[in-house]
Amino acid sequence: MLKKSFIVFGIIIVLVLLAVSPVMATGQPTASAASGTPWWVWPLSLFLLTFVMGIVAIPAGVGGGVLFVPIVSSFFPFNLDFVRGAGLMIALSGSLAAGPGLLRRGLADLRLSMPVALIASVFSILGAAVGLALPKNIVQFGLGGVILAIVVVMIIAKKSEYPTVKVPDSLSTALRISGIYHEDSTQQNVDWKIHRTPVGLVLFAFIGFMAGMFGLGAGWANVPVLNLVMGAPLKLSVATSSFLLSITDTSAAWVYINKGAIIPLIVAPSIIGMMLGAFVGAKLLTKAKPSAIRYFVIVMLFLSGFRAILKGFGI
Amino acid sequence: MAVSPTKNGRLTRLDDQVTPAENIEKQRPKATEEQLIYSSILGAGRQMGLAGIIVAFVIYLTGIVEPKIPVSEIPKYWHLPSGQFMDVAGLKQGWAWIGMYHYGDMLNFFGVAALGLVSIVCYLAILPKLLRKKDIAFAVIALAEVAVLLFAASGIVHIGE
Repeated sequence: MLKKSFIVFGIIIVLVLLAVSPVMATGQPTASAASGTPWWVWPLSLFLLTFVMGIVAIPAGVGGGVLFVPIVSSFFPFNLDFVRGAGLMIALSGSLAAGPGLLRRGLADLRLSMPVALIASVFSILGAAVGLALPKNIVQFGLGGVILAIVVVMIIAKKSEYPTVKVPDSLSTALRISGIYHEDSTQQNVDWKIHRTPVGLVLFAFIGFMAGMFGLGAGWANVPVLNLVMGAPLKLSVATSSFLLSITDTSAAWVYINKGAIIPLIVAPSIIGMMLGAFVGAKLLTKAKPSAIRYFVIVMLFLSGFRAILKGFGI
Repeated sequence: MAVSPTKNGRLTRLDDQVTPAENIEKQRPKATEEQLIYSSILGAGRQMGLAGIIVAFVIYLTGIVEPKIPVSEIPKYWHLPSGQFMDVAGLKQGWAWIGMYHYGDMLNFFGVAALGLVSIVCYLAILPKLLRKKDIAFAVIALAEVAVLLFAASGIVHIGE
């Protein structure tokens, strides 16, 4: 009840602020106004767009950034630097909105997160630095290719809700990475362990690099690696991925912040919209069945990847 | 006593003297102590960061505190690459925004920075618990993560200029 009131209040506040802003009232001409669009349309649209993204992104196990970057870079008049900076910030804020609750309920696992987060953080800094130097079309094309490849892997894979892990690998055994979580949809406790940890760590280095380079968070790849490669149950993978973004995106985001790729008028309405939407999305995660989440992941990744490929070709 | 299998075949004892709902609650796995500490600090940091961003955005939009760049001027710059934008707008990279705290738009960076710093606080907070449990491997991982995040936040990385 309180959260519903908070969400409604937040939406009203932003709408009212944009409506009463003195600049909007005076109607001063701006660069965007010159193209026929008043300046305030952009932050207002960003707020509404990210609110919807926040609702669907968390249950789908993707950071909002993976949807935000291709869509906003296509339809908004911002330089890609600012879109990627904002993409990382909203992916971070979406993760922060859901992370505490997921950790508290044991759906996200800290021991599973910490080693992979460390690897991904280091490489996300490298990726952010390299990504800010690469031509835009190469970034878009690479992004689309990677996402579509993941979609193919997820469609082909037969067992993913509760992967079979016969023998945990020696590294995960030494680090005691295993546990039990409660599956609300079936009212059962699910015990889990992982395998192929060294392979997973190598892949998380790659994921971190790509996340930093494209500025789109890393949920799009975290879930398949945790679930399909390392053998964590799908729901645990989705929740751990959501939390994981709060660490890996932070390191990449700092590179963008320090480079000046953050404009408050772009970032603030996006973060507020994403956080409000993520409160709703986190509620869905505890109630929805893992298979429903999987369908969300596949459809959303496909749409994002296809869009990025088109952008890479300049379409 | 009844027995309920988990998904991987591990058996869980159920108590016949309590209702099924109570049984489920009793058997619900608990998060570890450090996970709960991390969670509570992350939640508090999120609240602070979000509150800071909302308050700063209100101040910025309403013009209560004069901004460095008026909101109506931003669309003239947001199509430029970030480096060029900084030059044109007369801004400096890194943590220079702290020195411009008296501008309405620069206040937004305090909330953004809070979101960026909260994970560091979380890691430092669970460190004593990990050391007390003699969980040396994870204590080292936590320290290494703090070092990586501080390195990123320091502004030392300047590739792509």
